Amino acid sequence: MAIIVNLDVMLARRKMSLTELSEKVGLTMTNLSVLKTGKAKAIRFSTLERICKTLDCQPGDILEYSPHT
Amino acid sequence: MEKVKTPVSIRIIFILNEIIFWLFNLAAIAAVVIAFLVFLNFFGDDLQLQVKLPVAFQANLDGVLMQDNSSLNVRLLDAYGEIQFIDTPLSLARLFMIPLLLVVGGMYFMLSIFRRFIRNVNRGLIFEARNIRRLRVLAFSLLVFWVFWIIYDILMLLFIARDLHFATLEMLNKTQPHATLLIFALVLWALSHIFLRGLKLEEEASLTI
Repeated sequence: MAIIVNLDVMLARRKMSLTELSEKVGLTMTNLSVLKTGKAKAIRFSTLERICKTLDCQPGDILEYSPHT
Repeated sequence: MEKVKTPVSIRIIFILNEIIFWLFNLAAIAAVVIAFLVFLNFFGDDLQLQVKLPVAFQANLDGVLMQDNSSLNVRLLDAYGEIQFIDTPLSLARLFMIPLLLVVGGMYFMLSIFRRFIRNVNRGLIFEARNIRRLRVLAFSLLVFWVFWIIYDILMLLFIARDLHFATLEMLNKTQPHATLLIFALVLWALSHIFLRGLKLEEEASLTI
């Protein structure tokens, strides 16, 4: 898929673990792993909003378009 | 994905199907035993074989339809019925056991497939590759069943009905199209495609975060 999820980069910058993020955002570890590993087919705006709010970032900090992938 | 509670109608279908399946098993065992005994000539000359006649006969019988206090004259034009072979010869009896066993085997196969399908649906496992495969197998089996009945009816017409002679009845060159079987097969085939779409939508939904 051409959309790359840079969730681990943002987690490292904010010094937050995936477990901590899942508790704050209200998503299961399984779902977050699916998102982090790029296996997700789609993301809801509500989910993106909660992640951006928790990590204090923009959607573009988490999602990247790379046409050559 | 959260588990959806099985609707009552599906549970009823599941229970009814279980009852029908096990009752059919008993009937199938009886049919196989009878066929076996016929092949072994257990009944000797006393066999009075009764089969459904898939060929129509012309009746031309006049009658009356009673409705409330009035009567309406009617005429019975043609009908289907059953035929009994008095003191059935062994060769004929054995010949009829072959379609009997094929029908019993085919129906057992289809009922088993449907049973597994409805059991999955009852458990909430609806859009699964196995269920789609089962629907397609059922559809194909019904199609084969339809072809079987058409051939059986034609053979009965050619080898039995044409040589039947009654004092007041005339055999017609008319058999039933069994369209219901064909339509049901096509409906199941279309349903399998709908289930496939459902599977793809479910997969997509489960990977939507």
